Amino acid sequence: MNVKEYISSGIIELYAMSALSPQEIKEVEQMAAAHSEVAEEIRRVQESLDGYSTVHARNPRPSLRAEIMKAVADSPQTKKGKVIEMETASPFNFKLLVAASVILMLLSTGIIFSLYYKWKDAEEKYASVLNEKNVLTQNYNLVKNSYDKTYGDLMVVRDENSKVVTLLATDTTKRYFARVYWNNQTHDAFIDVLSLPAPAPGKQYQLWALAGGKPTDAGVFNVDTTEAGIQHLKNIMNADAWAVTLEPKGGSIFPTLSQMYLLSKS
Amino acid sequence: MHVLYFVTKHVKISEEDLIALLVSHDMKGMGILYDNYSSALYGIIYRIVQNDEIAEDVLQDTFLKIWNNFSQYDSTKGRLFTWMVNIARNQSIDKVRSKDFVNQSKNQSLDKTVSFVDMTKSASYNPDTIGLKEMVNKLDSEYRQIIDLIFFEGYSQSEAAEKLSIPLGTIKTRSRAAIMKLRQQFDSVKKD
Repeated sequence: MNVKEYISSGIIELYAMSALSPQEIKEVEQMAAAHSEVAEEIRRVQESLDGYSTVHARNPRPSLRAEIMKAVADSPQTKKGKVIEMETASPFNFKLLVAASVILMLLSTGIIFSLYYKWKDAEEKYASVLNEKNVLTQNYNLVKNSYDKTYGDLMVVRDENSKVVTLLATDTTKRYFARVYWNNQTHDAFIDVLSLPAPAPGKQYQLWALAGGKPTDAGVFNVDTTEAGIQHLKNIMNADAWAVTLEPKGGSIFPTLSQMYLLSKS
Repeated sequence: MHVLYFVTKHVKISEEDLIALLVSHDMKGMGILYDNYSSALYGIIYRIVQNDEIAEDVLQDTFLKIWNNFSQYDSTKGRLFTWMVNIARNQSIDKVRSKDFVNQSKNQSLDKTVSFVDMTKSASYNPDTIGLKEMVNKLDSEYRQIIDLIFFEGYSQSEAAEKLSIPLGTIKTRSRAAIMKLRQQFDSVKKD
């Protein structure tokens, strides 16, 4: 069968009308590829059928256009097309980006919680350490004060200019006892109460410096046991003897001799 | 020499440009496609399903199929319109043969309308094709019948032979003669 006979056989018409088996379709397409006349004839037959189709043209109701356009816009292919656009616009995959942000969010939430608990723990420890430090500081200050006092006392005792005078109970049945330190350079007088009964309410002990039998007020002092140590009293220029009397609180101008508790030995 | 001549052209665009728009899934392309081809495709569908409501469904399915399967269109195998006509035809035939349709149409006979292009039922006419319709109606009914059965109703060669009570071998030659006749008539219209 030559090409001309093939063309006029009617097989091309049946091909154009989709009435052939897949095997026959393949044959026609092979012939068309090999012979341009066959390809041209296929085109012309298709045109005739297209024309015949067009003859039946019928306008659909105008509102159908919007409905179909919407259906097309909503179809998965259209959405896929849009996604592809996004992908080309951005190097990141949107889903991947969402997944990454979710993971990042979970991670940071985890880190935040972990940090929060560590911070809370640290704050608790800090508070307890701060408390310990305060306690230590207080203790230190107590010790320091105590040390300073003791050191001061020691300096009074150790001072080469200090003259030590022992005062004993005037009532020899009592074991009352005190020492006076008197600095002959600065003239400061100190008393170290070793044993005296607590004074009655409204009363206070007073030290007197005696020079040529004349008493000079050397200051009042306490016998509070918690305030143990050497007490700094007044400056005394001259003294050949020392005495302690119990006086009304604040001291007196003249000693109440009937209330004399201590007197220096010499 | 394009059969686009017969199609009402709302938007002037080359087939190449239109194909490029559709390949890139540009909705603008879809709009042009609808404006330029909906009447022709709707006519073919209506020709087969004989019911506006069903024809509208099929037209939508047809456009969706064109849109979604556009990558399957091969311009070397034929013109865009031919490809779309085949989709519209196949969708319509599938619909007509579905159980659904048989129930809906209650066995409305297609044969009644095979021989004449229905002008009275048309909701609106395409003035460009009125002359052509008259011309096609002048076409010998034996030619029209063979094209209608095979092309529009999807009959196989043997089914068509049985339906028309002619030998199987005659189908090919009669198809050839029918389309040659069609072509002559179209050519004469174009010369006018």
